[in-house]
Parts: sequence; C-alpha cells; structure tokens
Amino acid sequence: MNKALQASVATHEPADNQLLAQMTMRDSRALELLYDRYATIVYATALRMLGSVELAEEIVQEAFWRVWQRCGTFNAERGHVASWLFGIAHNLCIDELRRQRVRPSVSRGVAVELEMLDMPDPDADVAGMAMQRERQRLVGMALQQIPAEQREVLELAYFGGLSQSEIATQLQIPLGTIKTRIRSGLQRLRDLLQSGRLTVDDLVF
Amino acid sequence: MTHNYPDTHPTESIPAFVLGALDNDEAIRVAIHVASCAQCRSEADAFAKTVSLMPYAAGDLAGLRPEVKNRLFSRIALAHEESPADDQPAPPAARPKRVLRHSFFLPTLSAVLAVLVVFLGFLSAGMYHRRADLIAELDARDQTVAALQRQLAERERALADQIQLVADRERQLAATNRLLQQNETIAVRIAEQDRELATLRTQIAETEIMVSFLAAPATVLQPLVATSRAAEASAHMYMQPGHNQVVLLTHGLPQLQPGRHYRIWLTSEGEQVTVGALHVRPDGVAELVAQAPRPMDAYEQVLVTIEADASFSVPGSDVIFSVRL
Repeated sequence: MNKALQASVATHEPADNQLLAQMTMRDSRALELLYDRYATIVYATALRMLGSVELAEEIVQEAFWRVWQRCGTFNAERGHVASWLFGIAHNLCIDELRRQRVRPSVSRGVAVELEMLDMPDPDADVAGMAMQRERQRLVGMALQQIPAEQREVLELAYFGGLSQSEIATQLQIPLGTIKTRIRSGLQRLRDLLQSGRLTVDDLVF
Repeated sequence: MTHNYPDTHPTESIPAFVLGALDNDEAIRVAIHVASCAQCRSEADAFAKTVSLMPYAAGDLAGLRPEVKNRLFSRIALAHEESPADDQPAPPAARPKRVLRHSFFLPTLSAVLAVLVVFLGFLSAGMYHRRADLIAELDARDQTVAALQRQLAERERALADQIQLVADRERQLAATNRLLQQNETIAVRIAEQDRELATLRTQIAETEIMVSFLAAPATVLQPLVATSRAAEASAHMYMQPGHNQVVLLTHGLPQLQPGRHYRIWLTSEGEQVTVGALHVRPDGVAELVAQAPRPMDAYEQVLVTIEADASFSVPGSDVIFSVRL
C-alpha cells in the first residue's frame, strides 16, 4: 500500500467509532457515511455466499438496519465497528443458507443476476472504493500465499457456511485433515497479514 | 465425539470456532470455555481480527445498486414517523461503577473476600460437577432440537408434496368435469341430429317412392273434380292398373281448424275404406302416398272429405273432391 493510501486508512475521518456515537443520537448522516464505507464489502460477501443479487441486497439493507437499531449496544473494547458489521451480515447469510437447505427455493437466472451486477452506483465514493480495493488486494494476496487446500477449506467454511464435518463430507477428506487445514490456514493467514507492511488493525481500523 | 475442557485449553479448536466451522455441540463447549478463560479469549480475539478480513476476499466490489441505500433510509424514515420512541437505539451495556470511596473499608472488605474465597473453593468442586451436568443436558437438548428440526423439515416437505398433489388432483378433476359437460352437450346434439336425420331419411324415402311412381310409364293421371266447398282448389291422383299404390297431390286447399282434417276414401260396391289423411302445408300444397287394400282397379270412386275426429268409418257429407274411376 502506498504511503498516501496508508495515511488515508489511518486517518479515516470521522472514525467508525465516532460515527457510531453520532448514530446513537439518531444522526442518519453518520449511518450514511458508514454505509458508503462498507456496503460494497457486505454486498460482495452476501452475493458470494448466497449467489443471488436480490438476497444480497436484502442482507445489505438488513445488516445496516440492525447496526442503526443496535448501535447503542456496541462495545468498542471487544472489537472494531467493521468487524461487528461484517459479523452481523455474515450471520444473516448463514441463517439464509440454513433456511435454503431446509426449504430450497428457485433462484433467478444467472443472466439476470449478471445483468444487474453491471448497474453502476452514481453515489459511489471513489476514494473510499479505492481504499476498499487496496484492502481487497492485500487480503487476496495473503490468501494466495497460503496453500490451495488450506485456502479452499477456509473459503468453504466462511463463504459456504459449512462446518468442519460438512466440509469433510463434501470433499471426501478425513475430518482430522480438515481441522488441521483450517487451523494451519488461519494461523498462516494471520501471520502473513501481521508480518506484512500493514497490521490487521490497520486494515480493519 | 465429546470435548470437555475442564482443565485443558481448546487451543486447537479456536481457529475453527472463530471461523464458525465447529459443529454445534463443540462450538457451545468452546464458547463456554472462552467466556471464562482470558488466555483463550485473547487467542480467539486475535483470530477474529483475521476472520473479519475475509469479506475483502469475497470478490468484485462493484454492482451494489443505489436503490438499496434509498430503501434502507426510507425504512429508517418510516420507522421514525411511525414510532419515534421505538427508533431510539438500544442502550449501552451497563458498566460496573467503582464504589470504594473510603480506605476504611478495605481491611473489612479483604476479610470478607478471604471468607468468600474459601467458600467459593468449596463451591467450585460442586460447580464443576454441576457444569458437567449442564453441558450433558445441553448436549441432550441440542440433539433433541436437531431431531425435531429434522422432523419438522421432513413434515414440511411432506405437507408441501401433499398440497401439490391435492392441487394437481383438483386441476385434473376440473378438467374432467369440463370434458364431461362437453360430452353431455355433444351427446344431446348428436341425439337431436339423429332424430333430424331419421326424419329426413323418411322424407327422402317417401319422395323417392313418389318420384319413381310418378315417373313410371304405367302410371295414370286422374284429375279429381272439386265441389263448391273447394272451388279454387285442384287435385290429381296417380295410380297404376293392377297395383295398390296411389299418390294424391292437391293445391289451393285451406288449412283446417284443429280437430278437423281432410280424408281420402276409396269406394266400391258395399265397401268404403279410407287410405289416409291430407296434411296441408302453409303454401297450400298437400300430398299423400298410400297403399289401398286392393288394386285400384277394384274401386269405383275416390272421395276427399272433411271429417271430425273418430268419425271416419264412413265418408261424411262434406265432400270437397270426387271422381269416378
């Protein structure tokens, strides 16, 4: 990451915690700034997990709605605002995946989904997007440096919402091997991100 | 598989726990341990920071439509309009306050704490067993809930299948009913057409007989003489010597009132027979194809009379045509 961008990451104003404090006073502008910062990440995660534009949009809306409703319960000592938001969205996606497994529904065609993906957002924050893309590049680079079989199980667990035993069944690999790959993969990813020029804290604020 | 962590740390399971990849029972055990173990909580927090970066590996960041943002803020505005009080955020968690204001209480407090520590020491053994019992109970409940969820899912699927089956049967029944109604309508029409066809065949047969009879070289035309009762009418009779068949055609006869009709008589010495009645059409034409009991040569006279019902054993006096053969 270049110095200017690093500086902008470190001095992102107003800080997420400050935005949350403003939201407790019902300042919807603060929510809007938070939305502009993270909505695309939440959307990309939900789209990858659920494979549906419509559902991914619902997840984005519901996640930020919950942040707005529950901003008073956020405890800054336990983590970052972005981690909290991503956790809310991830849990919503997991719930939806479980619902789909119990009661599968017909999703829309791929052509429609791809067509909708091409629609531009006129309100997009260009500087913010550049920053998100830089974070994306760094995390993607770190993931590419861990062995492919470890990366595969990490992605199946996080984006597929699968447990260790479900991954073992799907890949037809012993459960013990899956446990080892998850543990080693996550440790390796953590080490790569911490040993780089940026720490994890720099990336998530 | 069972994992209890009374004395050891579930270090190996913490990465999968943070990633959400543990099965339910193990996840609950690790969660209980992490909640009460600062060392493992610290380990879990470190991994959680790494996991929280996973969304950045989700893929393309483009494509989120601006309508989503509009819908979110419309929802917030609507919630605020409907219930401003409910729109307030949940309050922050209460934080412990410091209550020790006087150093005077510290020795007393230390003594009380010492007693408490001893007491808690006795309690801890019981609590440990109690915790094991609770975990076992939790396991059993998890299994029960999982089994019930599976049963519920199976029943939902079975119910959906049955609903679909009933809907299919109802559609088939409705289609069958429609076909039956159409068949009934068609059957009624066919019966009507059959009757019309039979009538037409009878008429055609009679016409064919009459035409062939009239066209035969041996057929003799015999005009009938009208009386004053039918001055403007005319009648002709066709017959063949030695044959019983006779055809009578009339023109200009008026239609009679109900209960009265035109009747044709053949007479010879000591015999008077009727061979049928004339039915006058609206155009004034009437025709009769009849079979006489004997060859026409055997009769001396032909009469056409107007008769009332049940009075035709002998010709009446109301004669409108006659001819001597």
